[in-house]
Amino acid sequence: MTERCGDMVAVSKESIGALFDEYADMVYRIALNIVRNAEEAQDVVMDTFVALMKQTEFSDEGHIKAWLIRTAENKAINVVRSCRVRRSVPLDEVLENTLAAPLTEGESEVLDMVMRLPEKLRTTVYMFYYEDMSAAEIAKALGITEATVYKRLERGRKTLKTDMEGAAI
Amino acid sequence: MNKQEFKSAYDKITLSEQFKERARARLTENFGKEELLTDVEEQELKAFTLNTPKRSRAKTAIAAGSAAAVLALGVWGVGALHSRNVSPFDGQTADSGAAAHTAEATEEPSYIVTGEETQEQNFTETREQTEETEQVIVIDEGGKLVSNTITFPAHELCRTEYNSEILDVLPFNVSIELPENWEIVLPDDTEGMAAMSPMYIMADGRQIATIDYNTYEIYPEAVGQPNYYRMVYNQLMLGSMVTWDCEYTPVAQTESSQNACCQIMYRNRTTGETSYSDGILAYNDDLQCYVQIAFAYDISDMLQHYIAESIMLEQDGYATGRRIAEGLTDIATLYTDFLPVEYGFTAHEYDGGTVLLSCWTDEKALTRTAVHYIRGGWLQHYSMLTEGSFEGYAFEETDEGLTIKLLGDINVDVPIKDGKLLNVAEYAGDYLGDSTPFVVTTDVSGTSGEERLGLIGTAIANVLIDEWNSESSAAPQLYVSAEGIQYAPCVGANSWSAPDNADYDAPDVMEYWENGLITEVLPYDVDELKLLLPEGASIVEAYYSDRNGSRTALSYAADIVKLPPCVYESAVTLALSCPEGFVEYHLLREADPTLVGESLPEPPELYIIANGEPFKTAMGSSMWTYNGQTLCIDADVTEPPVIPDSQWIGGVQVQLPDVEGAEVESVSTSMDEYGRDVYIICYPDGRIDFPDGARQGNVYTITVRYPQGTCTYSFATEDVDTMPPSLYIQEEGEQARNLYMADYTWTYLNKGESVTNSEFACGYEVDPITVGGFEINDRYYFSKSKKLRLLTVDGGVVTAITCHSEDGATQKSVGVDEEGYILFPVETIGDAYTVTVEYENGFCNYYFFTK
Repeated sequence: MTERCGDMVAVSKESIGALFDEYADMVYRIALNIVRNAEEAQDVVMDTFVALMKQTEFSDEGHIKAWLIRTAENKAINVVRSCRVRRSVPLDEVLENTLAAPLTEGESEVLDMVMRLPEKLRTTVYMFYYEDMSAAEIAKALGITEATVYKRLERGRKTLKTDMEGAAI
Repeated sequence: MNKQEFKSAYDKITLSEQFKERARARLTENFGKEELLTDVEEQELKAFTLNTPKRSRAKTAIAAGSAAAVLALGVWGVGALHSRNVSPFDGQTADSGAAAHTAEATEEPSYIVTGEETQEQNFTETREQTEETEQVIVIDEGGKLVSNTITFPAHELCRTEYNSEILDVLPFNVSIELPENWEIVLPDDTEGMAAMSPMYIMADGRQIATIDYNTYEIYPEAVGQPNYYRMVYNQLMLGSMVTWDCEYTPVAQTESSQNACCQIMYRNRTTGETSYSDGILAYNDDLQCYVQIAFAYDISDMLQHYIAESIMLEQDGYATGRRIAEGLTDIATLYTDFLPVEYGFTAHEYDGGTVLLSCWTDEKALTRTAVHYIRGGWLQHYSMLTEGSFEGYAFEETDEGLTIKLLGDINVDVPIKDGKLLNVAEYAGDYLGDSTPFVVTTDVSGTSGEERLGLIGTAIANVLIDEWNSESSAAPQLYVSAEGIQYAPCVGANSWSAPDNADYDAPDVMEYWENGLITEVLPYDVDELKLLLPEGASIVEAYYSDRNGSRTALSYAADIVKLPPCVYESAVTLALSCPEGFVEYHLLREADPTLVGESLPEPPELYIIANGEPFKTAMGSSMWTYNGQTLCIDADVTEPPVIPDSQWIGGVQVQLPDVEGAEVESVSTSMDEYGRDVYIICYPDGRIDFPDGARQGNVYTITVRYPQGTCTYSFATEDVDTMPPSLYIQEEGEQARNLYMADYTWTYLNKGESVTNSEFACGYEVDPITVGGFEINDRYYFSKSKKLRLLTVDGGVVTAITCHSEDGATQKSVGVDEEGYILFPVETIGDAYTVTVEYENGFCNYYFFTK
C-alpha cells in the first residue's frame, strides 16, 4: 500500500488511493462522532487526507493510522470550535444519507448513547470497541497517557451503562 | 446491547461510494501538486463535497475596522424610552463624555461619517430634550468582533408579579459577537424599566444598546408561514407607538431559529412624528425564547448584519437553575451545603429546615460547586462541603462534575435567612445529552414569602446514581493502634467494591482531606501502625499523600504499616482486600512542629538567565504549606515580564531557588491551534529551549515543585511580526475592512537569525468568494459607485495601486485624489485591484475587488 524508503514508509500517488479506501470510513466515523454533521464530517475526511498528502514519511503503516486518527480528531474538534455546528441535532438527522443499511433499534440506541458522550470520550470509546485498538495504541494515537485512556473508557462505560464484551481492561 | 451491536451500528456508517470515488480521484490527481496549490485550490480540493454554502467562518476574523457610528446627541432620553415601553437607555448619551468623543472624532476625521446620516436621526424627542441635536457622537466599532456569552435570565432586578413566569424560564446562553471594545454589563438602575432581564451593551463607557429576552408560544399551524416571525415577536410588532416590524431582514436561519436585522419605529405621542433606530432580533423555537437588541446609536449596516448573524441561543448542557434573588449579600453564611437537585419527578421531602435525600431513589443529582450570582459581586464560584451529617456518602470529582453516592438517607440543611426558606436548585438536567431538555422538578417550597436561591453556570453535577442497598453494603470499620491509642480511620466509601456496590472507583484521598472529612489524626512521631484487620482482610496497599497530592508508598507486612519521618502534614491511606471486595481508609498525620517552623513562609522568587543576565519572572498561582497550614493562591499572570531582545536568543536557563528538593515540574507556553497548552522540554539542568516558529510573543509558564508545595512563574518573549501588517480600506459610510494579502516577503529575526516569509499567489486571479477557504460573501468586494480610500499604512509606503483585467494581462495604474480617495479608471479594465506597499521588512501586495 505504501512505499518503503529505508526504514520509513512514504505516501505516494499510487498509495494515497489505497490509503483512502482503507481508512476513509474510519476517519469519517471519528469525525462524525465529534461534529455530528455528515457534511462537516465529509469535509474533515478530505481535510485530513489532503493533509496526509503533505506528510512525507511515516515509521510504519500503524503510524499512518495513528496519524490519521489524531489529525481527524483535531480537525473535527477544530470544526466544532470554529464554526457553529448545531449541537442538538437528532441522531436520525445526523445519520441521514450516511447509512449503508437501516439501523436496528439496538444499534440506533447504541449510536445515540455514544454520540451523547462527552466529546473526548467518544473517540476513545469508538477506537477501543470498534477499531479494537489497545489502550496503548489509543494513547499513542491521541497523544494522551494510557491512564487517561483507561479513565476515559471507565467513564464512557459508566455512562453508557452497557455490558459490552471485553469491558474489563 | 452489546459490543456486537456497537460494531454493527458503526459498520453501517460509511461514506457513499460516489463520495469515495470522487475523493479518491481528486486526491490521486492532485498528489504531488499540493505544494503548488493555492489556498483556494486546496480548499476546493478539501471541500468539494459541499454543495450548499457553508456557514461563514470568516466573520469572526473580520476586522470591523474603526468606522464610526453617529447619532445626534440625546436622542435616547430616559423619559422617551420609558414612555415607549421598550428597553430603556439612561441619559448617558448626553453626558460630558459626548464632548470628549466629539473631540476625538475631530482629531481623527477619517472616522467621522458624513453629516447626512446625522441629519437623518431626526428624533422628535431629542429636540424636546436638548438643543444639542446637531452634535455628533462617534462610537468606535472596534477592531474586530469577539465572542461574548450571556446567560438569560441575567438577573431578576426587574422581577414583578407580571413577568415572573418569564423569568422562571430555564436559563439559556446567548452567544453573540461584538466589537472587541464593547462589553455587556449589568444595568446600574432598573427602576421603572418595563423589561425582563435587560443588560446594557457598553462602548467607551457609553451605553449603546440594550439586550433583553422574552418568551413566546408556538402555534404549530403558524410554523413555517412567511409571517411566522410576527407571531414570535407579537409583543414587539403589534404596537402603534413602537414597533419592531420595520425592514425585518433575516440574516441567519435554521429549522428552529432565525436571526434578523430590523428597524425600530418610534412614534411621538404628541406630534405623531416617527423616528427609527437599529434593532436585532433572534428567536429559537426549541427554547421558545427570543432575544432583542435595541441600539441607541446608528451602527453600520455591515456591523448590524454581522452581530445579528452571530447570535445563537442555546440551552447549555451544563446550565441549569436560576440566580439568587436580589438582596442576598452574603452567600457564605446562607449556603453551606450540597445543593440537592432532583432529577425526575420525585419530590424531596421537606421537614423543618432539612431536605431528605433518599438513597432509594434511582437517580439523583447533587452538586458541590456552583456559580452564583451575588448582588454587587456578579459571578462567584462557591465550593464548600457541608459540615457534619454527611458521613454516609462518597464522591468523586470528574470533568463533568461530582459523583455522589449515598450510603444511607441523609439530611441536607436548607438555607434559611431571616426566617424565610431559600429554595435550592429547582432545576436539573442531564449533562450527557446536548439535546436532553432540563426537567423542572422539585420545588423545595416553604411558606409564602420565601426567597429563592438557585444555581446557574457550568458546574452542576447531574449524576445518575445506581440504586444501591446500603444495608448490605457497609464496609467494615477498620481500627488501627499506635503507641497504645486506637484510631478509627474514615472509610473511603466509594472504594467499597462489594458486589452490590457496582461502580468501584478509587476515590481521591485529597478530596476527603481538603474537605475536612478525615478526622482521625496521628501524632507526627508515630512510626508504626498496627491494624486490627476485619476477618479475612489483608493489606494490599499503603501510602501517604502530601498536600500536593503526590504519593509515597509505605512498607507493610501482615498487619503492620511503617511510617517514615515526615516534615509536613500528610494523609495516610490504607487499602484492604476484604472477602466482599476492596476498601480504602484514610487518616491524617500531623506536621512535625520541630521542623516546619524552619521552612519558607511563602514561595520564593524565580529567576531565569536570559542573554546572560538574571531575569525575574512573575509569580502566579501557588499552593504552599507553612507551619502546617496550606494556602492556595489562584493568580493569573496577566502581564508577564517580557525578556528584552528575546528575538536574539534561543532559550533561557532556569535558576532554581536555593530550596532543597526544588525541581522544575513542567514548562508550557501559549496555546496551539486547538487551544491546548504546548508543553516544551525543560532539561534536567533547567535549560528551556524556545520551540522553532512558535516563540514570538509567547508566554511561558514554569511550574516548580518544592517540598512545601508548587508555584508557577511566568515570563514572555517579545512580539515579532512574521508577516506584513494588515492594510485597511474604507468604503464611504461603511466600516473599514482589511484587504486580502496574497503576495509578500517579510524578513524578521528568530533566535538572532534572519528569517524570510514569503507568499506569491496571483491575488487578482483569486475568486474572492472563497479566499482562504472561507465563505466571505462580499468581504473583499467594494462598490465602485462609492468613494473608497486606504486608511493609514502602518510603517509602509504605498508605491502603486493597479487595476487588473481578470487574467492579469491588462493593467493600469490608479491614482488617488487630494483627499486620498481612489480614482477608478473611466475605461473598464477589470475588477481586481492591487495595492503595493513597501515596508522596511519587505513588501506586500494587497488585493481588493469592485463590483
